[in-house]
Amino acid sequence: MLKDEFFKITGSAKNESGVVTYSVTLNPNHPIFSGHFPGNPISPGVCNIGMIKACAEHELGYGLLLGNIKQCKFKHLITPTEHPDLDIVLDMEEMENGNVKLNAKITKGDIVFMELKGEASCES
Amino acid sequence: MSKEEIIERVVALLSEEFEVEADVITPEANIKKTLELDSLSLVDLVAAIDGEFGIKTNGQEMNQVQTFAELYDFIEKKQA
Amino acid sequence: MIQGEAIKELIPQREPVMMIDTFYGATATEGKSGLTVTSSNVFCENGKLREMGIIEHIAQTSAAFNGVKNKQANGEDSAPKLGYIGEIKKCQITRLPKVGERMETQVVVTAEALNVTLMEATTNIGAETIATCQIKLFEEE
Repeated sequence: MLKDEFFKITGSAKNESGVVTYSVTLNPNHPIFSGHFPGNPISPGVCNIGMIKACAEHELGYGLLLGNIKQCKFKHLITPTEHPDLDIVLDMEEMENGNVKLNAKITKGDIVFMELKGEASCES
Repeated sequence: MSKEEIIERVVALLSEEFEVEADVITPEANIKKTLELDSLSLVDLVAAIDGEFGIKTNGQEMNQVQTFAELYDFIEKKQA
Repeated sequence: MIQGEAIKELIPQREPVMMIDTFYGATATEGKSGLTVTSSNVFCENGKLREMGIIEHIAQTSAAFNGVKNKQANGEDSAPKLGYIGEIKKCQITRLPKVGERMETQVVVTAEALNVTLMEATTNIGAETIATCQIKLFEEE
């Protein structure tokens, strides 16, 4: 839904401990920005969550239901004009019950825009 | 509730809620610095204190409370 | 009860991101809103409203509650303030609403400090609770 429309993935890299970083770019012309807010485009917090989820699904190769967000902190607003390019850092663990433990953040350089801790289930 | 009991409960509550060691919560210590509160998390302190002591606090009042000693006085007064 | 275009008096979001179609009213500490899921909803996929749509619906219920309070405090003409989600905690979503289903969300204020409001939200479809969440809303002065 969001992927390839609201944002696109431009690259990804995995480090030795399994943490994956996706580089993404926002589409400033997406209609969501005209409603949030008129003349003042700011990425809705839920879209930031959605981008994390989409990258996680892309990495795992299957769909997720993000049914449990333990904590999600929004620390800095994301605007497509000021911060079109972002890094989405995913630390995931596939658990025995089939769920995925997800620790993620959106960053760029020194700025941490948001942090999320949660658990998702595989969507059949 | 005695002052001692207030202090005991505040220290237990805030050290758990804000994940700090109990011994950093001293009467003279600055609340915001000790608990690393910012403009977004002051409300968490209000919610924690209101929930624990069954009082109703507004943010302006809480924003003026600087040290833990002042917080203990504040709770004592609110309960009276 | 506030519906349709009048919702825009309460919240700053505009199409296609408007995620409440009715605001049922507010007491001093509680507010309630509703949304019927349509296939044209920007957060809909394969006939279901995704997590993002549910959470945005919860956030806008909180925003509309604040919008009502703002009008009570500052007059009917006061425009809704820009607001953002500051934090989400303990957000559980047990199922996604299907197109045509109506969800209703109740928010209860737990605490307020300066321009930040902490609320507990419960989202139902009929008698079934499909989501619960703690949400912190931050409003610009």
